[in-house]
Amino acid sequence: MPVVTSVITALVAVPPASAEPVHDATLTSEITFVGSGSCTRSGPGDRTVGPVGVVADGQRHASGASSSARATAPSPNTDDTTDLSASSDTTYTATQVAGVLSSLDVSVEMAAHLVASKGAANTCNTRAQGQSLLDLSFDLPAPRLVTVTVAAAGRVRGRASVTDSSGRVADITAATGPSTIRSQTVLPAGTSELHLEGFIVLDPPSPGSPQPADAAGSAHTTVEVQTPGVATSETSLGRASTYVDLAPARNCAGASLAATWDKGAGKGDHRRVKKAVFTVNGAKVATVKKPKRKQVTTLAGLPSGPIEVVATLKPFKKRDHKRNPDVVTLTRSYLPCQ
Amino acid sequence: MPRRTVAAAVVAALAVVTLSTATPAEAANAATLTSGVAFSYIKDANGCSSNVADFSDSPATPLGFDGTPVTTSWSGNATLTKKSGDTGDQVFLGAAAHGTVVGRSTAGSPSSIDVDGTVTTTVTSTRANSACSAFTLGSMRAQGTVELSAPMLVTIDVESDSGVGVEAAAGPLQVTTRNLAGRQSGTALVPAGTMPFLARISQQHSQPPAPMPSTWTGGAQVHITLTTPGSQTVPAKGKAASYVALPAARSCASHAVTPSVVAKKKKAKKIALVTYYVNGITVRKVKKPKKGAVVALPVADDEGAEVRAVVRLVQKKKGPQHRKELEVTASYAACSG
Repeated sequence: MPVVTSVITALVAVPPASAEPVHDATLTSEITFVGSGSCTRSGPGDRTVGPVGVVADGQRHASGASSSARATAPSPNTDDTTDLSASSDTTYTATQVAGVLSSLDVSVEMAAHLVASKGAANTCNTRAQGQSLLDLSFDLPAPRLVTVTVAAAGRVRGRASVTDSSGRVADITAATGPSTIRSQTVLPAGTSELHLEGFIVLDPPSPGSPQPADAAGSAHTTVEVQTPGVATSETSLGRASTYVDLAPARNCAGASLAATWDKGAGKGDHRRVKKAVFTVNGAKVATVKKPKRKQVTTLAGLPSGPIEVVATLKPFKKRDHKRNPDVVTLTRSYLPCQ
Repeated sequence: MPRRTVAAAVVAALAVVTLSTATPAEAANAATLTSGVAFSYIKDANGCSSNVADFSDSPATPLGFDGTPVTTSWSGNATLTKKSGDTGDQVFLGAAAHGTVVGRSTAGSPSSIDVDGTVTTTVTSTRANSACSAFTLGSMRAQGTVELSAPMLVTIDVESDSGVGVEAAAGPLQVTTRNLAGRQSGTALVPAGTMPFLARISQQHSQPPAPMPSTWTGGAQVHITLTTPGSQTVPAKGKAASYVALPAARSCASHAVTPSVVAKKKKAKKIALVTYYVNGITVRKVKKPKKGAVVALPVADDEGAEVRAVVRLVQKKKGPQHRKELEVTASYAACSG
């Protein structure tokens, strides 16, 4: 992986002049009625609300657009009409911690309505579209794990795209829900961009392709910015945590993790743990016999993806400690390093 | 950087056109595997000429869904020479793409597609900055359709390093990455009918190659699975299997898993307590269950469910050291995306 290292180094070398949690951040709602041909359009028609500024203040903000239109075929077929309407309503909450974007939650509710007086025989062939576009740039002081999740419900499409400071991209789309898609990448220090999109389209009926009068749905996107390699959860079975501690973060640079033996492990002739086995994602990585307190066991050569570390300890049996279970375990999960 | 971005878009468009015309009409449960290389450079009077064609593709290999790995490989080299002026200005481009795909079936229907692709490209030149403005692209692609006779839970998982770009799609789920290492995963409930899928792994390398090395390798994996919603993905296993029966499927209609206690009265009477866990969380405790007792454990539709029943037997002797607990575990696919 020397390639990756060289790239990251190159990127770290160009920190932003003045870091801001979010900037160039806008939300735009668009309603469009597309393709009337020779038909006449009446009513409010296409409508754009925004771009309105997006702020990372931890508060819920809302913006949206709705509109309607009628398309009428040219004379003498003026009884061939298509009534259309669409709406797109977005609420978002962007949160920052210590001047860095920490989370973003965006919900887009969309609906479209279309009734053609001549049904599949309509000649205006006009469709209704609703769209929400949220764009923002955010500055990271150090590499961060960015997790983007898009959930689509109903006849809509949700899309999210992340672009880092050197133009590297991860773009995900979930459509016709219930469907969910997620992307997890480590973005380098510097300015990255986020583009979120919610989209609904309702086509007019055509021969062989009937369409409903109404379509609706929502696209829900969350973005989490986290430190790579930190622990996410811990479970201790049979009080294993009185013997050993798994570090609150793995060492991403060294691909390792420290397990520190507690006072409970004892010392000298009074050691309590006969044997300990450490597994990472189910594969054995280390075995320790009779550890003593303050001893540090380093688990090395860890994979860069998400890991679950399990320490399985066999305490010594004691005559007066019949209640001691045979095996105690400590399980801790960690975020990916890359 | 802007020059490369524009160039990338152009070559991507060209490659797609070439590849799609090479693909025959796709029938149900049909898929093909191809790989190819491309060379791009300025061709006007002040530009360069090449000793080989700009594009070449491997023959298309059909992919079965029978568990047999199918491979595709293609490579090419080009020497570009400036047409006029500094005719000593030469660029040497090389690209090699390799892919392995395994399609599997369960009960006659496709159940998974696993794609593993790597691309290596080399860029060298006689001048630090050639007038050819050249780049090469290597790619492998698996594309096809599967016929779904009933709604299926479809998942897509992509894992790539920074050396490649990936385009992957399964039904309503799409992933596009360009040189950003990471992982993407999605789940959707896809209605019955024809579902298209695609996995394309490619690498583009320009002259001058920096900051990338002259020879650059990248790779990615794409996994697509198709599972009956709510079906058992890991069969029931454990010593308590004879005490508690975990059902063959969860009920998507009632949003629940319904395990039942053994129907034999004699055996059921041995049970002091059953604790039911869903995804590691205690959901229900039943003391002294009657024979055949059924419980409905609620599960959210969009989650897979690992169901564990821990059976504590009636103790013959007092004291915690004589306590006997057995367990049985099974896993179920989600009901929706």
